[in-house]
Amino acid sequence: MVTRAAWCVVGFAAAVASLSTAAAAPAEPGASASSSGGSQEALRPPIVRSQVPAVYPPAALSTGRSASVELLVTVLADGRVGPVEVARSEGDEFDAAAMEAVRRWTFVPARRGDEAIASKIRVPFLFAPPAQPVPAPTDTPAQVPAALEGGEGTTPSSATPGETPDRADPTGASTTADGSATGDEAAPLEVVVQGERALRDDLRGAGDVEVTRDILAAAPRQEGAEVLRTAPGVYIGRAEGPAVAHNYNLRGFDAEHGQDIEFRVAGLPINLPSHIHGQGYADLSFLLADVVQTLRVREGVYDPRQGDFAVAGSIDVDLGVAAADRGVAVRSSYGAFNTFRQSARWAPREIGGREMGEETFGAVQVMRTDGYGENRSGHSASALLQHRFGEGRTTYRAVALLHTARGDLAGVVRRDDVDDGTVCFTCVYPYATARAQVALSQRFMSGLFADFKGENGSNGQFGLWVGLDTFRIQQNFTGFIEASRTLERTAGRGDLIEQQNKTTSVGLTGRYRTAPFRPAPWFRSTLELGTDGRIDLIGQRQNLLDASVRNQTWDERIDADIRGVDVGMWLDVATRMTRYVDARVGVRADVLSYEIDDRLGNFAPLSRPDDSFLPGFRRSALGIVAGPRTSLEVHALPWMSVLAAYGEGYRSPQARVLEDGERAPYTKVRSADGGLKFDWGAPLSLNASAYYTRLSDDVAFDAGEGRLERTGATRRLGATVHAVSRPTKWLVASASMTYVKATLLEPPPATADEPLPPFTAGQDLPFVPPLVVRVDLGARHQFLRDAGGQPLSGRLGVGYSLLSKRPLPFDERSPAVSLLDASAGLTWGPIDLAFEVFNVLDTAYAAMEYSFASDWDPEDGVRPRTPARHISAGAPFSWMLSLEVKL
Amino acid sequence: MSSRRRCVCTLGTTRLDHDLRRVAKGSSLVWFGLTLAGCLDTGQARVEVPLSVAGTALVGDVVTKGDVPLTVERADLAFGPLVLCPGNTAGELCETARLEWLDAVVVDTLDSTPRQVGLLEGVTGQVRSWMYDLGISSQLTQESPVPLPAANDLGDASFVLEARTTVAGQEVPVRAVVVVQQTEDTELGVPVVRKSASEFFDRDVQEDEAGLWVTFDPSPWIARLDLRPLLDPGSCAPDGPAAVCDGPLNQECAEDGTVVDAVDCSVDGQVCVQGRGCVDALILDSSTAGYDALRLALLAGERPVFSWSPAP
Repeated sequence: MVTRAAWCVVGFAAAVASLSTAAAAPAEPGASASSSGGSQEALRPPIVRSQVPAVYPPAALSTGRSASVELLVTVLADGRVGPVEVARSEGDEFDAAAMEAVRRWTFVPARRGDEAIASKIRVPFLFAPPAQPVPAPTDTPAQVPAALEGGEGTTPSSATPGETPDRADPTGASTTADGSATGDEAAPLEVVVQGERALRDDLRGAGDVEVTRDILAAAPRQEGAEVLRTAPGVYIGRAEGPAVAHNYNLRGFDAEHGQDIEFRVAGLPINLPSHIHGQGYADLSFLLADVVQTLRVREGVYDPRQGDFAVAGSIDVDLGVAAADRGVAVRSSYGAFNTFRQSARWAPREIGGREMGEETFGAVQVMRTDGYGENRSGHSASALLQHRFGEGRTTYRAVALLHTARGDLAGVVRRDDVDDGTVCFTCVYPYATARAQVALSQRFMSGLFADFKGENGSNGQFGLWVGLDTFRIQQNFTGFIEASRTLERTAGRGDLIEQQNKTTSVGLTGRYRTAPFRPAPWFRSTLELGTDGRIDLIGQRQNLLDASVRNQTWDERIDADIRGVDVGMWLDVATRMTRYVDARVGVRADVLSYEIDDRLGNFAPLSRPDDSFLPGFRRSALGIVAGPRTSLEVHALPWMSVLAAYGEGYRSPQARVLEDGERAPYTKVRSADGGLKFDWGAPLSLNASAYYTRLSDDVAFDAGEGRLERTGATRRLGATVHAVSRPTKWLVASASMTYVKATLLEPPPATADEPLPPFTAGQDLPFVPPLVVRVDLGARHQFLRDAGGQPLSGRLGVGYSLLSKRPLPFDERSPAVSLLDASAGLTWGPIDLAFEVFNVLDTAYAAMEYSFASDWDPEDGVRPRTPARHISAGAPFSWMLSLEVKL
Repeated sequence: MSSRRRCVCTLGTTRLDHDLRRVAKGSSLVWFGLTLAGCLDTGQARVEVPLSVAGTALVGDVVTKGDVPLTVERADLAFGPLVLCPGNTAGELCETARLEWLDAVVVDTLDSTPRQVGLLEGVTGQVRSWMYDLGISSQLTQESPVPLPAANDLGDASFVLEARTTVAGQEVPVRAVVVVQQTEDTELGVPVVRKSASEFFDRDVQEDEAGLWVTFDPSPWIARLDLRPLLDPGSCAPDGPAAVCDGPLNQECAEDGTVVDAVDCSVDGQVCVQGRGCVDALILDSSTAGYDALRLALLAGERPVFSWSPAP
């Protein structure tokens, strides 16, 4: 085999050495163990989350000798590597190589009961010389890998102290260590660890980050999707009620409802192509914060696996329930504006005698609220199920989500009307057309994924998924300025736009990564081939309704069926050259085709006798888009890496606007990124990156149609700094700041139909805040080990978001938004009480702000035509009290 | 257009700036970001342009069609709202205007003294067409056009003309009250007086625009009046009208064309108007050709002069 033929040996973790028989480490996870503290609680070992392979010291190549280094590694309670000692030395070169590698590993910390604790593990590294086959326990290259790719978790297992795992473990589990359990920082617990290989590198750019559960849980969240705010450069707002997707911003991209961000949740693609309410529409309202384990945020498009809508980047949400939270829990919440939320989750520790990993769980939530201000009541329900099953080299994961929501919308109000007291900030205009604003969403998605982990590091995945989505909205942005295009001399009946969108989707994904190829001791390379694709059947309509006459339809704007197929394929070569350089080169190509049945196409009765033709315009289009994805990472120092990346991605078109035979209708994005990553372990890790992106054709919101329209080429030049600190066992802090200069380069020229386009060349891109700051702070501490037989712990959390002023069309600017949330909680055994406050400073801010012409005063006799600022009020100060009971 | 960049936060010279600098010491990146965050280039700039109106002092009489001289004593015009559009054609294509003034005022078109009546509000950039109403505005939501207060002052009319002329040696008051508003033949909800595509109007409106001055000259409108059919002497004829004016005489005619009776209107200080008999004044109501001539003149006749300068 290639890997055996390779003569360089990276160190790999061998079998356990010198297991301490005195240890009281658990024979099985979850078993009771003694500690120096004397308590009898469920003890769980640390789990390797990510690993970096050690490299055979080049200077020792000439000796050709084998070496076996054993390290004693302290895993801190936050999962970072603490002090490392050499338990068995093989000389400075081998010792240093092993230590350098292990210091860059990360772990899920050991736990005693619900509390994360420090632990000490023994990690052996075996360095084999050239031409000497790697001995047991595995022929895989490196060490004790553990980080799994998207959606996967790490299944902890343990070896019995005193035993040495045999090499027959086909999954590549390779490192174990043991020790005596102690349970406090002074005497860390030594346990047995078994990990799994990292399957592929998802994070490639300098701005890419993985946000872990402790940070996600630090600040309070009004709803699950708000966990995204933790990611650097991300801001999400809720401007259209609980049944409409959030508005997303990511590092200078006003992604509206998802057009510029590729979202995947548990491997399921969330964006909906050619959605009538916004291209790439991505409603994450179904997310439940309790089951979000990690966010993997890829800023830019440097991974060939990133597909449609990965323009600003991609966000992958991994679902699961951590070991400490497993079991059955029921939570009831009540808060401001008569908001009630009831949720339940169940995460069995075992099924049929087989221990369940983090990925297996079920969760459900129902919510109702009167909403702040007028016309904002809403109801929603969500259910999430995920289960990993199977054993051996291939395991399977099934996931399903079901969500529905209906919410009234207050819509927008003119800023000048608010200022002069015509309408209050959180009110709605007193007309039927304004009060009839409402939205409904229904969604079901399900997927089955098979994950394969072969010998020698090869691995792969195959998945199938299906989705059903229904969306309907009635919304009025402009008041009373629309005229019917189908009925003569019919106008002024209220611009209540009705949009309907129904999408049925089926898709697949598959990839295979080869075992490492080692033509030279200092060179290791893997190749990945992959494909993903989907077919979408979309039906959409847009009408104007007269709310004062039982929603009588008085104009038809869209009536179309669309069938879209997207077939993507990629090649990805990941190469490591010496211990210092990781280079990844890939390419991705997508073929997209559309068949459009535009039933209102060619409909022009006002200019041609309507008995001279039949309405309808059926057409088809196909295009191919391809581009490279490259990244380079230089590990200049053990605690610092230098990264650079370049990639080209795309966004598919709104199919309805395609002409017959149009061949290259895609928005192309070219993205470059460079920066530094510093990692000083738990005290501080920091990313600093600068980036440049250019889009061939951007889109922005058009109030007249209530949807996105083309705005032309754009450019973004920006920088992001993101820091995470865990200075103590009880404190975690995350902060990020993103600055961007977003410029509109080539707006569409004025036309007879639109003589005053809202944009001009060279202006700052509307709706994009140049500066986004986010701070998350969480502290938790155990006050009493035994309070009436149960431990008592408390926690505090703070989340702060700042958006700078945003440019709007027609020389308007929205003010800066500054939001502070805070929470406090107490946990006493199985009971958890939390009190959260949102918008602590009661800032009156606009969740979204636009600038366009409207007429919201239908009785004054005068119709204004110049653009005016319109706002959708954000949530004022609110609170929520929650009680959770673990059964 | 450099002026379109506005640094909203005026850091740099203020005490706040000084304090912030101290706070930001050692954090230049933060400072850089915060400073730049306030400076946004939105491509266009909000602008308010003073709007003035003026009339034209008439020298002598206005000679109408048929060489009837009129001594104009009053020519009040209800003017507004006014909309300036970026495209070459106003009307429905001007859904989003560059500048607008939503008020209306009564303009004494005989008074050449300029008067600022308000502010045109909008954004900078090219304007290439205009449209306005004459005190009576229409809205998509309204079944009928709505007279604004300026029109109310004129009796819910757009234009009031009062003049004098001499008929058969006798001075006769002439009065017209003209309504110009949306009808079934016009576009819904769009100002009725519009620049045509062939007319030239072009201005790149800047932030420092001094003002727009709109000057009306009523004489061309009034000159379109043709009073002769009302004032020219007539005579009884077979199958002719039942009454005719022959100078100051109001003659009643028989079917055979003979004069049945004649009344001298001048005895009571009146004049004889064809079809109306003895009247105190010549009223041009909506049934008259003169009224239609005036209405047409206001709609499509001589345009006001738009001057991009402050009113003198």
